[in-house]
This record gives sequence, C-alpha cells and structure tokens, in this order.
Amino acid sequence: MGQVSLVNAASVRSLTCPYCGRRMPRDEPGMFAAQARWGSPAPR
Amino acid sequence: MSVEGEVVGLLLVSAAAEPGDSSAVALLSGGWVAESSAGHGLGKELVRTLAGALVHQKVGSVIASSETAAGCAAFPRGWLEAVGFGPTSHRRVWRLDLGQAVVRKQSLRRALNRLVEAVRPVPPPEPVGRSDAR
Repeated sequence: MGQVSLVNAASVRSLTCPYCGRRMPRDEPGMFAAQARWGSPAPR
Repeated sequence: MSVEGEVVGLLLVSAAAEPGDSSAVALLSGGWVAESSAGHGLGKELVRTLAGALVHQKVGSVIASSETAAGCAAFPRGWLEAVGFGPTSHRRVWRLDLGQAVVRKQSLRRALNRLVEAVRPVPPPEPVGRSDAR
C-alpha cells in the first residue's frame, strides 16, 4: 500500500491525468481554500 | 497517494461552504488512480483517509459527480457507490454523508452489543431426574 500524503501546489501542477492527459490543477482556488480550512488529509 | 515517490492516485478536494457550518461541504473536483495501480483499493483508501480527516473538521458531506468515461473530471458511478456515495436528486451528482457514516458506525456498534447480549451463554438446565429423585 502506498503512502497518503498531501500533494503540494508545485507538484500538483506537474501532474497530468493518465486517462485524458489534462493537467491537474482543476479549481485551484477551491483546493487552496480546502487546505486552508481543513488542513492536510494525510494521516498524522 | 504515492508509491516510492511516484504519485499513483490523486483526489482533488475543494471547499464548497463556510467552515464551522454543520452543513459544510467538500467537493471532489477531480482525481484518478493510475491504470497500473487500479483495482487494488487505492481510491477507497484515499476516500477513507479524506473522510476521516473531514469528520474531525466538522464537514458534513462530500459531493462528487459521476461520468461513464474514465477521466479525472468525474468518477465512475460504480466506484462512487462502492466507496459509500449515494445518489442525490440531481442526476450524476453523488453525496457521501459523513454524519450519517458516523451514525451508521454507532448503530453497528449498538447492534453488535445487542447480538452479544442475545447469545450470552445461559446456565445449563438441571437434569430432570435430579429434582424427581427427592
């Protein structure tokens, strides 16, 4: 099993969907808002 | 989710309501599991981890949309059902009710307690002959 970790803004921008090839920062402001409000979902 | 430094699964989460509100909603705005890692429960593990973190932040539910084609914009309907999402009145919009998930867990615990009570061993019956011999 892999490690669940928060993907930071810099690395998420470099990721592309393996199915459609779309670059990943979809709704980037919403993602930043989620991180600011709820923090990292990775286990502590 | 990463394996040996390579990202093999991803969930993108957006905030869709004000914090502190019991009806705060998180939105799954996209995500994928790499084809080479699909079918091993990575997506379910991502959702479970996310739900656990959001419950602590008093988030009420998670919304996602479904799509038949594989991609990052939406999720397969069968997968959403398998990880606990239920349909809403809007076609292709699915909801994971985090409050209900906690209640269900408590209900399960109560049901298990009732089951344990029901099968608790009772004292063996007295042999019939013992009381008749007197």
